Amino acid sequence: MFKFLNLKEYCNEYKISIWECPPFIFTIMGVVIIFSILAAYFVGRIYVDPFIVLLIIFAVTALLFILSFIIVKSFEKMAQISKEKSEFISIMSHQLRTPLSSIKWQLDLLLKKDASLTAETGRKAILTMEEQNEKMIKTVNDMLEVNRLENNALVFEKSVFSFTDLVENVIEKFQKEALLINAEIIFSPPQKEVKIKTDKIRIGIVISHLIDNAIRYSPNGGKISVFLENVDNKIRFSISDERVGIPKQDLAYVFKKFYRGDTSRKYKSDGLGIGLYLAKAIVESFGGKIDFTSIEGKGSTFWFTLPISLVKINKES
Amino acid sequence: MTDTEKKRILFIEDEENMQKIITSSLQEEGFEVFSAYDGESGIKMLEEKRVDLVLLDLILPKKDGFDVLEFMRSREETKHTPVIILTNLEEKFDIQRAANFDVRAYMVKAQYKITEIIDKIQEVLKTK
Repeated sequence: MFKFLNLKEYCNEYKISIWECPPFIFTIMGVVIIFSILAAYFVGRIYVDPFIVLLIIFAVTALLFILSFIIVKSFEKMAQISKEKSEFISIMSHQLRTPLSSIKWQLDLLLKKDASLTAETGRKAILTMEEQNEKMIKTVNDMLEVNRLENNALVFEKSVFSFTDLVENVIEKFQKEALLINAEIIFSPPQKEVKIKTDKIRIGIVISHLIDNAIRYSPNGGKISVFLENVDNKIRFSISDERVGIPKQDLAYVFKKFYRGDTSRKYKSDGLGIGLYLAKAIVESFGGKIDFTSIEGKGSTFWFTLPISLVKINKES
Repeated sequence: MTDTEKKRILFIEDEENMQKIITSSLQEEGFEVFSAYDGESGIKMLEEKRVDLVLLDLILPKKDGFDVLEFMRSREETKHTPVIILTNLEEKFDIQRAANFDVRAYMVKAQYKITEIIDKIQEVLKTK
């Protein structure tokens, strides 16, 4: 019941800073009010000049005003978080419902055709369900990854691997999807194979999200160019598409969590709106930089760099 | 199903698996089905073909379901064509917005079996 009296524990539990913690701010306000009453009393006794008392009251009022402002801002932030959570639940359930509905209907069909089912039809249905299941696993994994990042609970597993091979492998996974929309992914690897010591899975996630993004915003196909370079002692990965581009009003929100502008709704009917947010958070946690340039109607280029301290160029290969 | 034999349905849905499952089930029931994978091609088909009913998803590429509804209701030929919404959106705002376009049913994909969807289509077509 009196848990709020232990301010440190209270703030830690809700993962908020002390200046956003209502019990702390109310305590401060209480102390200020008590001291101001006492100060007004003693000052009033010593100085008979009402002007000085007025000045003190003015100063105390200003202080209380500032504290109230901090409280309002802190509640505003909490309301914003609550709104984001509610939006998140809505987006997340929609994202899970799509593959779940697909599996539900597929099962409907299998049960209905139980007797007349051919091995071929059965196998196709199982493959479809497997694909939908993978989608759900990916969605949940992305969300857990965001959660771990926000709680600083990510454990990086570093290993030495070929960056060039990783990019090639990820591209390979997207070739089928790219073909469906008549897009072509063209990879220009560096002359010398690039080896890097970092978290292969996490960097793979970043590359996947950037490629996925380029494919989704190229609804009528086209060329998607992937470059890998060693520039100024940094690894630089970039991917350019030549289609939709990002409207001016959305530019500031591209890396924002759960943000899906009108354009993304038009071109990307599914998606959580966390891919680029996750990519940015991962790259930055490795000390790298990520950014983009885009012209609406012409296309976008997304790029990221990783510092050389993580990278070793293997000159033998 | 003699009464549904010649009924023509336009199904606008971008998710390939769902499109295939529902389309084949409707064809088995004797419907003639036209498939569109985005709002823009859905609108194009509505301009070219006469259909008895539109089965419509709301989140679609290029033009969304509401754009399709707006197009349909602004045009004499499709003004009164019955529409069944088949979506996973369940926000009050979306349901209300769809209702304003006089849709005949709003079905949340995850809550209905294929047979229930077909039953609803037949029911709507009977009372057309």
